[in-house]
Amino acid sequence: MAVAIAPAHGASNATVSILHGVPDATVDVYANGKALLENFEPGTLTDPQMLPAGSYDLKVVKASDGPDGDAIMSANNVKVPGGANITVVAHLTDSGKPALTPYVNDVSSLPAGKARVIVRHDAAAPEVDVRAGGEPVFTDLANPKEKSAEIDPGTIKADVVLAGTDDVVIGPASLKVAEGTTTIVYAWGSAEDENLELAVQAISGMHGSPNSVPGGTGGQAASSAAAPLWASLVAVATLGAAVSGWQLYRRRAFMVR
Amino acid sequence: MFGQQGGRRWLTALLVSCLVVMLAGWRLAIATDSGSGQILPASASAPTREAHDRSPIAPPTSPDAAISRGPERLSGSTTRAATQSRADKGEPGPPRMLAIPRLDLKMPITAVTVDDTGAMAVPTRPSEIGWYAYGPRPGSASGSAVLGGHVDSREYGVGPLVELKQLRRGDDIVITTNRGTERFRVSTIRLIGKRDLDLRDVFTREGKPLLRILTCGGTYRRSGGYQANVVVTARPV
Repeated sequence: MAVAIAPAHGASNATVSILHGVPDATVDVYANGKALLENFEPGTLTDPQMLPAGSYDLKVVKASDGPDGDAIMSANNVKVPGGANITVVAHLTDSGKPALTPYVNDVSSLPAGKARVIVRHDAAAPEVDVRAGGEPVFTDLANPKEKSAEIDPGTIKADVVLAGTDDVVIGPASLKVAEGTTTIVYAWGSAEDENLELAVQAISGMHGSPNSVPGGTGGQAASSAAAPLWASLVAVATLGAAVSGWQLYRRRAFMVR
Repeated sequence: MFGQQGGRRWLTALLVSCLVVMLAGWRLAIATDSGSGQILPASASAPTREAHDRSPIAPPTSPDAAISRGPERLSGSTTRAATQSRADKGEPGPPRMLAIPRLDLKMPITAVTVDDTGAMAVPTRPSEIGWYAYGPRPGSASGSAVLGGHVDSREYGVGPLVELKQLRRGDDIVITTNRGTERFRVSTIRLIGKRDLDLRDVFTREGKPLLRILTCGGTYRRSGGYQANVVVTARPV
């Protein structure tokens, strides 16, 4: 379904993924008048593609309508900086209108043993809280905003509730979050049409390294272990001399008396 | 008369002291002799504390950096034929046991991650060695599989990893996984100051497949502990 726009080259490329989050519409996506995606189904996330850095006019039309077809949604002059990792999301606004939102994905490196989770509100729904294991982790998230956190890796039982309530609108869903990765969770669909869903994008390679390898707590095996041996033996010898001296002193004192 | 006896006691005490000090020196000499040949290059065998702190004890780029400069051993060559290529074997299982036959060393391996400070969470007991479970497994197609353990512990004493310094290039290392065995041959043994250790390189998940075994070495300070890591690098055979 993907059609290359232009040969990608060098460091001036960006990594671009596209998520289709508008229910009930199979579409074609055009970038600068050229077909980028065809027969793009709702709920689909493309594999990341390398695109030359630059400025793009994006247009989404009903499948087979062609580049001059009526735009379901469009976004002009979308900046795609070199080296960036971007996800363009076709989604509904909070009032239910189709929109295109480009997000720059945080792929900065993580501390060792951590994972990054980003949540994005791309649904026709009011503000929500995202909970993990029943506890709100991200609160008052509004369309089309995103929130991010560094967490311990593992499997999270996540759900989405209307902000400040216990009214579950999506989930619970089991979400596996791997160490060193950025996991992006999109809420998409429409609350009114009761077709809210989650889409998940995982980007790996942000892992850090442990900041040290502790290798001993005793010091017994130290290469300088010989020094304490010397010191202790000298101390023993000195003590021996001192004791003898003290005995001598006592005897002398006794003799004088 | 008492005074004379006292004088003899002084003399005896002095002689005993001298004897003890001489004995100590003798023991030290033995310890140094048996160790220096394999443990450390001459320049690093008796460094000042300052030298330990400020400069890499053995910079990895220098050919002199290898702790061991023993001859290439050939005894492990018989294992080569028995080892299948990676493509035939698929992804290895998690490692369970470390064995270094020449040193008569065997240690159980436990999967570890990082502690609250971001350090590798090596096992508390020096009798066990940890495998960094977020990184590659020993025998994976790429990247460094890292094992790390305490050389000693205030509580449990000195562990088997004190022997790592005796390794020589070419020594065999056998890792038992829960799917079979992975064989490696030692290529370098280095003592690297903690500040100079490139942990990104040690823990890399990319590039050629390597096994790395780390423990502590160098001088030990009451505050700050060991000042260096012993880093053994081995390649799959």
